[in-house]
Amino acid sequence: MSLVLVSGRTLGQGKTRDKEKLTEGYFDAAAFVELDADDADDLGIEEGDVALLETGAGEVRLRAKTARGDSSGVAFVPMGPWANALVDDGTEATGMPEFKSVPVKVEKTDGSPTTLDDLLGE
Amino acid sequence: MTICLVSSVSVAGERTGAEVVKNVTCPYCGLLCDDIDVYLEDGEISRIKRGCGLSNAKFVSEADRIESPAVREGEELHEVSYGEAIERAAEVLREAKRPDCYGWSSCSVEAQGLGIELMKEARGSIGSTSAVCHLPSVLAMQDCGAPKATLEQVRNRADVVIYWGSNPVEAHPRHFERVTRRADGYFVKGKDRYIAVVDVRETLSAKISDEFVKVEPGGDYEALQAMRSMLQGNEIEADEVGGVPVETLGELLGRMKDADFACIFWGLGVTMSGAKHRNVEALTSLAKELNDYGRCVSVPMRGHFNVAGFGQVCTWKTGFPGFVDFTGDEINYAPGENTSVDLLRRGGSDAMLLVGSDPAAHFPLRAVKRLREVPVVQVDPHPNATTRFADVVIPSALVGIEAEGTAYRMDTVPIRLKKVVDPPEGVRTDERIIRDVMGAL
Repeated sequence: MSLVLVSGRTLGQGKTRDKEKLTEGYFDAAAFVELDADDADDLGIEEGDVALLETGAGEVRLRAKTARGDSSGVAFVPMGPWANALVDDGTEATGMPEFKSVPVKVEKTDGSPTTLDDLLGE
Repeated sequence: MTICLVSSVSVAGERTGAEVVKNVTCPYCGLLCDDIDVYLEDGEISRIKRGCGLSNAKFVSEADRIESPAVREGEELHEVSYGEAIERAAEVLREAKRPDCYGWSSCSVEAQGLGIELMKEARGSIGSTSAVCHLPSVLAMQDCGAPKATLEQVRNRADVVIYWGSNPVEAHPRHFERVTRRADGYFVKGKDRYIAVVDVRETLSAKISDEFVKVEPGGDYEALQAMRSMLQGNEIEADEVGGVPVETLGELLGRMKDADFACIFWGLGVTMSGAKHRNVEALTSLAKELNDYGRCVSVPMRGHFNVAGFGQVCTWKTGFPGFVDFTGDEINYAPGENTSVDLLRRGGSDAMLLVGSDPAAHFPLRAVKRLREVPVVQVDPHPNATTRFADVVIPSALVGIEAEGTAYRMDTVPIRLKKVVDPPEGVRTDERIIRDVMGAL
C-alpha cells in the first residue's frame, strides 16, 4: 500500500533527544511507524509487527504502532535517523529537505527492525 | 560562581535541606517558559516545579555526557586536553578551503555571535538548525512579511486560535497552558477561546481542541489559497480543496473573520511539506488580509530554545538571518545553496564545525554519508549519533543550567537564561570554546 511519510516530533523522542541519544530509550522513542488503524488493517499489520517502509531515498524496517486518532493515509515516523533514511537530500534550492509528504510504500515483513548500526555502521 | 548567581534569587526551600532557584528559564523549546522553580540538593538538581515532560528531561534526568575532549585516531576517539582538541579544531578549519559551520540553536546568543565571527576568520559559511525546521518561514517573511505579536498579546486578546501544522502538546507542551486554552488573558479567558487544529493527522493537540480540520499531506497551500480567495468574495467551484471540504474552510475562515483578535500559530507541517515557504507566504498573507476585518496575527512555533536567536544575531551582524558565506570579498547570503544539506549534496564543504547539533540524526541519511567524508569537529554537552564518527569532540556546558546567557523566544522576545549549577569539573562553555578556537586559528 502507498501512504505518505510524515516525520515529526513526539514527546518520547523529545524527552530522550538531548541526554539519551545513544540509549535504548531513544531508539524505542524514534524507531517506529504509526499507522491509522484502518490502514494497518488493510495492510495486515498489527501493533508490534515489523513493517518495511520504502521510498525513493531508501528503506527501513520499523515496529508498527496504531494511531489513536484519524491518521488515514499517513505513515508517521518520529523525526530521527530512521525517518531520515527515507528522506532525500534534495531541497529544490530551498535549503529544506522534504521531511513530510514523501510517498512511501509500506508492507509487513518478517525481517528484524533496522538498528542505528545498520544505518550508520558500527 | 554558582553561589553568587543563585543566592540572589533563592528563597528558603520547600523541602528540608533543599535550595530553590525561582523563575528559571527552561532551555528546551522555543516557548522558553521562565517560571520554573529548580530544587537543589547538595549542589545537584533534585527536581523542578512547573516544568513539562521535556523540561524535566532536560533539568532532572540522568545525563549522558561527553566526558573529555577527544581526537580520533583511526577508528577510536582518544582523550586529549582541551588545548589539544582546540588546536586540532583550529587546524581543521585552517586546512579547509570551504569549512561550514552548523547548529547553534542550543547555544546562547553570546556564543552565536562569536561563532559568526569565527567563521568570518575561517572564511567559511555558517547557518543554524532552522535549515531543517523554520527556514521556509524566514524566507517567506522576508518576501511578504507577517503580522506578528508577542505571546502575551495573544494570551490577553486572542479569541480565535488556529494551530496549523503544529502539535504543541508534544513539541511545546505548555503552550496551551501558558498562551491559549488554559491561559486567562486580560480580555479573554482561556476556556472562551475557539481553538482549531489543522493537520494531516489527529494529534493529541487536535483531540483537546474545539475543532480538528484534516488537510491532506501537501494540501496546505491549496487550502490556504482557497481561504484567501473566499475572503475576496470568490466562490470555490469544488467540493474540497487540499482534502478539506470547502464548507469547512469557509466556516473556519468565518470564525477568523469575525474574531476580535485571531492568531495563527504555524509549525513544521507547513514548512516541511509541499510548497514549503510558499505555504508560509499563503498563511501569513491570509493573516494580513484578515486585518481588513478584525485583528489577526501569525506566530511561528519555533522548535529549539534559541533557534530564533541565531536569526536575530546573524541579522544584526551580517544583515542576513543565517546561511551566509564568508569565502569571498562580500557576504554571500544564499539559502538553498549555502545550507549545509545542499553543500554536502554537491561536495561544497570540505570540513564541518558542529555546535550543539546532531546532523547524523536529523539530516537525510544521504547527507550524513557525505558528512562522514569530511573532517568533523563537534562541540556538544552530550554524545549523539554524530559523535560516532566526529574527528574532534569537545564537551561543553549546558547553557541555561550550567551557564548563563540570552535566548530569543519563538516570538523573538529576548529572555535571560540563568545558571543554577556548576558544569562538570573543567567543562567549558560554548563561548569559551569558540573564543579559544578563534585564538588558536
